[in-house]
Amino acid sequence: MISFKDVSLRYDRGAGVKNINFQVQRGEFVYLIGPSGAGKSTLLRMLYMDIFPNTGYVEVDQFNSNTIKRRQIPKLRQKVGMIFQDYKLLNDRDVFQNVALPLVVMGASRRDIDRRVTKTLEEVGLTHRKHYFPGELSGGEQQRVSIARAIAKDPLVLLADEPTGNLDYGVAQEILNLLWRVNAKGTAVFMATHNIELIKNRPARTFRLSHGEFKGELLP
Amino acid sequence: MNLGFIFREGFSGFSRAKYPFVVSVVTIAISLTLIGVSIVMGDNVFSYFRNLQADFDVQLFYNPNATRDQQAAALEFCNTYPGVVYTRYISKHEAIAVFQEEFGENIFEILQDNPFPPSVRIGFDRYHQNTGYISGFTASLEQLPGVETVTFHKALFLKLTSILRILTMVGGIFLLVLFIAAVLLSSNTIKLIILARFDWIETMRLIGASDFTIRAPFLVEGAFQGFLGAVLAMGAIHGIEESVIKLTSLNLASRLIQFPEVILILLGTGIILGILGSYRAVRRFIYLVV
Repeated sequence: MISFKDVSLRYDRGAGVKNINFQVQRGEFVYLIGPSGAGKSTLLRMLYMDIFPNTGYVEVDQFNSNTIKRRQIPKLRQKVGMIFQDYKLLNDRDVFQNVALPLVVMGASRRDIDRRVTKTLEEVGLTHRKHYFPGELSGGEQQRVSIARAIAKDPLVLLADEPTGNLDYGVAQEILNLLWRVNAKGTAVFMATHNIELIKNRPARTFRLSHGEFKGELLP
Repeated sequence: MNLGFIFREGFSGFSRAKYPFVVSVVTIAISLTLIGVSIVMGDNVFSYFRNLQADFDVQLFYNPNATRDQQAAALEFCNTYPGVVYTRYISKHEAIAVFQEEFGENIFEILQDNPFPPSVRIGFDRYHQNTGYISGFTASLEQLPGVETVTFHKALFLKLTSILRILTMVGGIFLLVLFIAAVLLSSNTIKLIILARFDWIETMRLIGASDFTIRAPFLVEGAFQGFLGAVLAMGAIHGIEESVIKLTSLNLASRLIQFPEVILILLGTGIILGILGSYRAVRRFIYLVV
């Protein structure tokens, strides 16, 4: 489902990634670990085709970075859920509206939106907060809204870029548990983190990245 | 594509970025007011010259011995000639009154007799007011029995025609420049709105919204701003017209805010201006900020 083949990318200002090769199957949970600046976010951005490799190619489902057309990128992103360290929620909308946004953009009916958002909020345990605005929620709750928004559209894969970076250890564990629950329902999860302590209790296939280079794979 | 979403997002632009929205509406209103006032001024100057030109219409003088039938035939010829909008028969008796009105003298005190022949003043519509056409008409008219002479102030007419042409051209260019300036100004204020909605654009891109879905609300917002700007501009133009009339006692021949079609044109121009300004801003700028 996800494939990196001889992928290299060099930014104008330097750094980037070199000769990356790996594959991820449907329903897998994969960690991408490495220190800050290792190239984790670069790999994730290539997965949702925000940036493109200089050499090699990235494949996500039927989309290939070398052949994808600009107008097809939204279609790819509708199949890929994304969560970030800074949540990227819209502060002028309540929880329900934030979670509904991808479904609205995809043209789902109001009934379908109501049904799916309600179900997703139940899954992340935020039904009681659905009319709250992001500013009224804790960091952990905001990240759960962000996860709900990402999974409401039933994506093939959930990309998580340092999702626990702004959270204390206990809340980070809850978020990680939630991601595993999402994975248990069939969605592949690709999580970049530098917090090795956090993932020790939840082992999974792990890619190590350092200075833009693939440093090996750890199996659970 | 979800049109309801696009319109909701477009119309809610005001509440999401109040300051740039107001700046944009005011910019469009000022631009449209300038355009409107220029049209009023231009149209009044234009009307003045056109009225002046109409004073130099064609005049047919009958032969003093022309029979009633000959006079009627010549008049009929004029009335049925394409482009003629009016004919006014001036009898010998009326000619005395016209002379007195124009020169302030009673002709009988000078000559003891009425030397004026009966005549007809002939006016053409604006589409036929060109010297070639009118010269052809006067030449045909002079051939008719009972017609003594036909006068047409060709040189003066030509001068006025060229003044009107220059006025039209200069006015047109001026309005076009104003319109372009208004689009550029409006476009820059829309850029402020785009900056203010950076988070929204970024989130929309990440969740898989198409370019159209991201851009269209800004176009709707631009159209809405243009509409509001036009309403403000109409109020301003009306106020300016009233003030000019009050302060100068001028009788404006042409006032802008009196015809429904002008109101519609102003609203339409405002909406087009808003959309063009937004389009220019979103076409590239939207991807420079995220």
